[in-house]
Amino acid sequence: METIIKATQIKKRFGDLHAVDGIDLQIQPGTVLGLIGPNGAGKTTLLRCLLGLCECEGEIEVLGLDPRRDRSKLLEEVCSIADTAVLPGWMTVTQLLDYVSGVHPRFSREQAVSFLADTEVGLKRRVKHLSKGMTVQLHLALVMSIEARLLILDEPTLGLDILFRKRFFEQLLNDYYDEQRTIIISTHQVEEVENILTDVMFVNSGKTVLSERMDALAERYIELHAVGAAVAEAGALQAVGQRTILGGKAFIFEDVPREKLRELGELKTPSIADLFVAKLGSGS
Amino acid sequence: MNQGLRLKAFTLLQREVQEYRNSFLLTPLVVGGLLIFFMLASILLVNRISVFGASVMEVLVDEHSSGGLNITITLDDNEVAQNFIITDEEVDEGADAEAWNFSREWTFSPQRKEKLVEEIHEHVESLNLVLNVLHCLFLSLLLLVSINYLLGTLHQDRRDRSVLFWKSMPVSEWQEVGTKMVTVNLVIPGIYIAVSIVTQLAYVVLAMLLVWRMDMSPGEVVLGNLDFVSLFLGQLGGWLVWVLWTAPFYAWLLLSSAAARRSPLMLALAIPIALIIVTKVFLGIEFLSTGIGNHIPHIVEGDSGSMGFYMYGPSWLTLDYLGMLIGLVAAAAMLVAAVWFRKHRFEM
Repeated sequence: METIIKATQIKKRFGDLHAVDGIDLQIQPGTVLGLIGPNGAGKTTLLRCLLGLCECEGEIEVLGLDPRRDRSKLLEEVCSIADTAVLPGWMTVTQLLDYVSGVHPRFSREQAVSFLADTEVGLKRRVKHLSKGMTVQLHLALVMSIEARLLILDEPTLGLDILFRKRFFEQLLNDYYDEQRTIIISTHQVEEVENILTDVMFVNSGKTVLSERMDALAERYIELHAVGAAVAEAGALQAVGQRTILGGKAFIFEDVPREKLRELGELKTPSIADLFVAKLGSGS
Repeated sequence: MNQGLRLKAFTLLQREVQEYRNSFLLTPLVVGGLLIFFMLASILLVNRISVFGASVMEVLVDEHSSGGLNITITLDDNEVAQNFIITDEEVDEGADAEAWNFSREWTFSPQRKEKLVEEIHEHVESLNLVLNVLHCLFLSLLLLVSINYLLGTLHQDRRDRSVLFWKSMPVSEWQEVGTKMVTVNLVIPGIYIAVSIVTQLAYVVLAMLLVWRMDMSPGEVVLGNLDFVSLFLGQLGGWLVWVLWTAPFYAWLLLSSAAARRSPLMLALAIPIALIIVTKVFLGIEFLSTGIGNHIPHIVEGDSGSMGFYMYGPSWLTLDYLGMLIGLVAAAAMLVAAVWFRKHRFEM
């Protein structure tokens, strides 16, 4: 099976700032990777390196091409939403459809029109007159109508209300995703993408903090809710992170046998958000 | 070029025209329409004045002729026609009091029609010049529109961040910059020159109409005094030389648009001015300032008042081919730089 992305030691500096500092990536087809990190962690820069939008050090191969040299050819099979509200405001929706039809050999105009028929986005309206939510719907309809093998979404739902966000990810999963397609999503709304991810990667200060398959995550990490005297006993173990809960504390452990923890309290799989806070808290 | 590439090229050009629809399409059409309207209005106005009879127009045209007015007056009583000729001198000094007796029936008729036609012939020989002035007006507008387009086209999308969308499409920076140069050198001039030619033809038709109203032969008086081939070949040839000669000027504006963080206009002005001051004033070198000056469209003194280069057609023999070649090499270097900025420094 062809690897979609192979990258080793990606580095990008802006003056003294190491925006990306030696990140490795290996992504197989059918992966839905969540790229999660705080503001300024280097997520956007990393995605731009993968799209050939900025110069960087290291070996990068996306679909067998170096994005820095063959960006235009690569973009025939790679789609991206770099940010919300980047569609040109002066264009009408029809003009936008004409443009993508003309320059993208894998775009299906019929499919895009059919996606838009389920929304309030009128074909004659100018993009600048659409609401932010409708603009994102339009952008999603465009990229979903491109028969691409890799879709890169950088904070695609930033600033949208919860209804639009839920609809966005549902549509992405139901109408777009299949086992031959690969999606990378960077977002702050961890809990909303958690259910659709196959892999997760935490990034902080340009470095990888965690990179795991979601099913392996449930095996390696465990959350213990301890109350009363068990709190002190659990605290003596090497927890990755801890937080206060009603009547006690919640601890997240990495590679600790369940049998050892079971007698100290209730065990559960940690949410991505809690694990993210625990890992980055321990990192800092 | 295969079909996909042709479609892509067409789409990229179509996008430019859609974005600058007002200045590329509406402006020349409105200006052309207004010019034709004013010409038509002036003919209709002349037509209204001629309620006294079509011959009035001939008199109006003949106002500078030395023959004076020929007025035939029919006396009320015995219907005997009496002929009065009022010359310029008489008008100045005051005509015979009897000539101003308006209680009699009177008509105008122009004097010496043959002489009038000859004079009109002399006037319309300059009809090529009139049409070239019209063309010059369109070219002046074209220059303003081109400058505005080049300064904004690689800057505006960086300001509103839509560059991120354009860059998510499979279009290389070379294709983007190349499209801009084709637009400014081929598409916009194509539209403006086409509208200019249509307007000129409309003027010719209207002039023929005017002449026909004056009971003269439009074919002889108007068409006989126009050389369409040399007129339009000159205008199209002027366009070709304009493209080659202004290439570094246009490329510099495009580079300024790609490189500027704030104002492309300021950047486009500041660097050449600084270069001219440093080389001419401090180093005493004329070559660079002369070169820059030559490639910027400007009023050419003593060339029938033409503006810029070869607006009425190129002078192939006197063309500075070395200067043109140096300009083209400079333009190529600036386009490479514009592509580099578009690729690596597109964020504000």
